[in-house]
Amino acid sequence: MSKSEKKIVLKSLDNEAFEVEKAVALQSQTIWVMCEDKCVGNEIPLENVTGQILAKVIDYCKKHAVVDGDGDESSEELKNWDTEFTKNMDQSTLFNMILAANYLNIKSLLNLTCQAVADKTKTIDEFHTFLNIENNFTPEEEAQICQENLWAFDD
Amino acid sequence: MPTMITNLPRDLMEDILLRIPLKSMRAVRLTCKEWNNLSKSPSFTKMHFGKTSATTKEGESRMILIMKDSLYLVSVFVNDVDLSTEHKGKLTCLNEQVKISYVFHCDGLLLCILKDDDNKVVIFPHPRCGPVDRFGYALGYENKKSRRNNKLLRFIDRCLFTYNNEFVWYKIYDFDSDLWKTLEFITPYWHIHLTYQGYYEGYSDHIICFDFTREKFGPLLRLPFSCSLESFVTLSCIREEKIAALSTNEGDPDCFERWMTTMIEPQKVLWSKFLAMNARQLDVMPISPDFFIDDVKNVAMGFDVRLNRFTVNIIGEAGSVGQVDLKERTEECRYRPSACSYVPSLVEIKKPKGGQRKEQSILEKHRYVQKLLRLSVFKWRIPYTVETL
Repeated sequence: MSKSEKKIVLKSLDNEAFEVEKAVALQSQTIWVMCEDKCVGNEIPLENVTGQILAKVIDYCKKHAVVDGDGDESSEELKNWDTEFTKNMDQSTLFNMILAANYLNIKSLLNLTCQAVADKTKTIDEFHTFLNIENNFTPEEEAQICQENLWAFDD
Repeated sequence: MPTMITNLPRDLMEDILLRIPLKSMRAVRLTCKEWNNLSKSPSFTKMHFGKTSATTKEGESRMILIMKDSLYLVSVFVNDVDLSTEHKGKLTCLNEQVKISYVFHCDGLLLCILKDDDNKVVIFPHPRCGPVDRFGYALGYENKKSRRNNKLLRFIDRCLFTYNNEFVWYKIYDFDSDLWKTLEFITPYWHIHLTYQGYYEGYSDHIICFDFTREKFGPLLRLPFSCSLESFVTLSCIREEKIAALSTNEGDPDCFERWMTTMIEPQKVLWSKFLAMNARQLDVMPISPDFFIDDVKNVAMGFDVRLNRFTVNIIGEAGSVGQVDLKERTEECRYRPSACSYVPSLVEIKKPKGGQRKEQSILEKHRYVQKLLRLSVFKWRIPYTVETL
């Protein structure tokens, strides 16, 4: 196999091109299917993902491809890397990562990012501010829901 | 334009909500209308339950504990290498600070007895006595065609010194019909003491089953060991399927035996000995009125108060496995803390229509007044009363 066949070019929505190892890109089931079907050449256009997000997705895939390949790093290290990876992402980036992971069909990344959102939100205020959701209850409705959920296991 | 959770397709948003731990569900419901509706839908509840509560990690046992008037859900991990506990949550009421003194567990439901000003306790001159004007409770259910109808038994079954000086009051509450019923023709078994899903310890070497379908007691069933007044017997349940008994050996009070049922029927119970140990060889004493057995890990756990800590003692076949600290005890607690094993479930209690309680029948009200009058006379005869818990 020549060197060029082992590489693949991913092109983002905003026309940014990323040359990556095939093994890295194939963690995406979507790309894998595209390559299997031979419906694309060496350049794959990804119309739903921006360059900024794609770069992060590729970082993730590179890290995980290496580990799957030679098994040098322990799963503990990988877990720590994952935690660091999502730790400082703002909510907009996280949601874009979720959308990208969903579109590219990378199960482990989708898991990681969904879990990160869930872990970052615990209180009602966090739900409203971090997730940017509006409270659309009337005071009466709110009182009724409080009554329905009077007892709960809390921290 | 930043991407928001509302930009996600519904299935992805649901995926995120499914990962939010149970203890944040109140917050989820109070976030917005859509989430409130979603979180209450049966399909969501079922999946969420499967994801967050039913799955226990390896070596994990769940315990409900009452420490310092609060109820906690705690996981205890017993692995080959170490022991640890994880705080899962504290039962809270939104509007007020409440104190809980006792808890009963059945089928994932918790019945909490609140501590309030009227709660008086009596020191009763009987070696196995508890508070007298406090009711005993048991949760149970009747199997109906497609589901379970939960019932609550509330009772006082006491006698003072002689059998003609007794007071018996058994009432049953049916969650489906929202009605109380005084059980008139119940055979009293004096000093019915410990409650567990309808099983009671009768006279210290027997147990008895309360049948929640027929609403009556079965025959007295002998325990597999003999016990004297000095011996110590306590019961607990294992995953709602089996009963475990812990007893001191009649001949040697330092020897403990643990028994487990192999078959339970209202008329017949079969037992097998699970482990025996000598307390003198152990670092920690297994004694705890509340204990439970993890038959997968083959260990018994007891909840205890030692010095100024709440602890869990874990005893295995080879003796003591160890002890895990739970919480510091800051005040003197005169009454033993209570604990039970906990198996979460999706059972729902039928709520009264329109939030209004149903009016009880005239006959039932009449019985209630009569019993209450007799109880007040009975209480008046009791020699020692201690104010408040």
